[in-house]
Amino acid sequence: MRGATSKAVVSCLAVAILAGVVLEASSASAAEEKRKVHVIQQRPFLHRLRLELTPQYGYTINDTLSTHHQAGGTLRFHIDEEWSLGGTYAKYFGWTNANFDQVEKDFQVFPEFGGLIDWFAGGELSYIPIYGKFVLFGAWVVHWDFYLLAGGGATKLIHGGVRGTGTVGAGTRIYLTKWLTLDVSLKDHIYSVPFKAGDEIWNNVVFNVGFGFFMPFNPDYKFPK
Amino acid sequence: MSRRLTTAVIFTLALVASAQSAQAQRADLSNSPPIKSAMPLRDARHQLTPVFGFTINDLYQRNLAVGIDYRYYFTDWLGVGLDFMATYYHFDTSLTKSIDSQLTRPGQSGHPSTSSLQTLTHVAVNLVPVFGKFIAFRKLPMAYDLHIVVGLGLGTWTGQGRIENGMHFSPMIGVGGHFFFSNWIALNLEVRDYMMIKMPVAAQASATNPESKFVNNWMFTVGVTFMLPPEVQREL
Repeated sequence: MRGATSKAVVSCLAVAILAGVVLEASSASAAEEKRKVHVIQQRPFLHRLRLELTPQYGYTINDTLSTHHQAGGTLRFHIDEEWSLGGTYAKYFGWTNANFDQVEKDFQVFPEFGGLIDWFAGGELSYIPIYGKFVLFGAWVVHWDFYLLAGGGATKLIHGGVRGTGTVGAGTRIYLTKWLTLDVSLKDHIYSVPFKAGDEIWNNVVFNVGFGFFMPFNPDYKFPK
Repeated sequence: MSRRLTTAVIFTLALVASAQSAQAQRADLSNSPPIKSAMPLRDARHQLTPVFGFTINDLYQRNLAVGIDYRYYFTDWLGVGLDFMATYYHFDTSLTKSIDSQLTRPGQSGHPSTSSLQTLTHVAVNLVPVFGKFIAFRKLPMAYDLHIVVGLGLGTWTGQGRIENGMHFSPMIGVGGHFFFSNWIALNLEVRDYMMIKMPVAAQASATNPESKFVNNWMFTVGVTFMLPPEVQREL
């Protein structure tokens, strides 16, 4: 009887030890799971202290009498996750279009047109107020941001010299990798164009598309996820 | 007793294995959908949008318009309905003013004959390939969608001078976005091209037979969208 009792005690102890192991394993797993849960997710893309080089194609969308294409680029330094400073240059390729010829033909007048552009160079400050994501084809989560920009510079007209220019605009970056973005923006270049009757304020609204290359290529958080 | 011990050990090991398996299943999210319990803001709902619009890139006449769009969404990404726009104000562009000033002589107006959009009525389809959410100024979360709108309908115009009023087929295409302030109210921004298959645009004041041609009429619209019913059917 005594031997049976001691065996029962040993059995109970063994089960208790195993149960303890199970509980310990479960609690360790729970702790591990808890450790992985963050209230605030890390951003998949970091801007702070990075250079962004964006070769761009541009097209003037509010021309009625001329067509302008543009090749250029922007170099920005991101001070933090929201603010950046940059410089931009664009070479224009423009000509009067079919509307111009039609006006000449229909009305036998020669529209006074001084808007053909040679180049633009300037600087800009940009700010990112919006950061978002969407699902593409129900499979991929794509992150993006929306930025506003303002700046100034000089526009060289083909017939009219260099004109002081103010710029305002907005754009979006779609993050393709940790260092590559698709950059789409609209920028209004505001300057005066000389006519016989006097200068006239001109809005040159340019649609830009380009790829942004961020350097260094692989920045990371100080602490892991 | 040793059988009992063996049974207890097997039972305990099974318990450990089961707990680990459940843990692994909870941690493995590789087959999970990108969005869990998505808010279907459009699915099986009616969309009513009063809009204000103005034409852009006009050569001779700029138009201001108001209208209303209706859609019923069969799924979260496909809506079908009717659009109606009517212009209420037209004004000359700087080119028209310039031609007017160059051709006007004493006692004879040089103002060109022009046309302006009057009404636009379309059967339209909204396709919503992109929707998601964003956070503004680190504080304000907002749902949004980006959509493509295509339609087919009729456009009418009013003529001035030698151009007469008229009507023709009008395909329409555009892109836009909804920005949801709540589950049933959103800001709607769109850019549309109301194409006119044939439309006289402008002619000399003395022209006898103004030429008609294919015309792109670009319009920017802003509206407030109401999604009805206001409650969203969401599966948790």
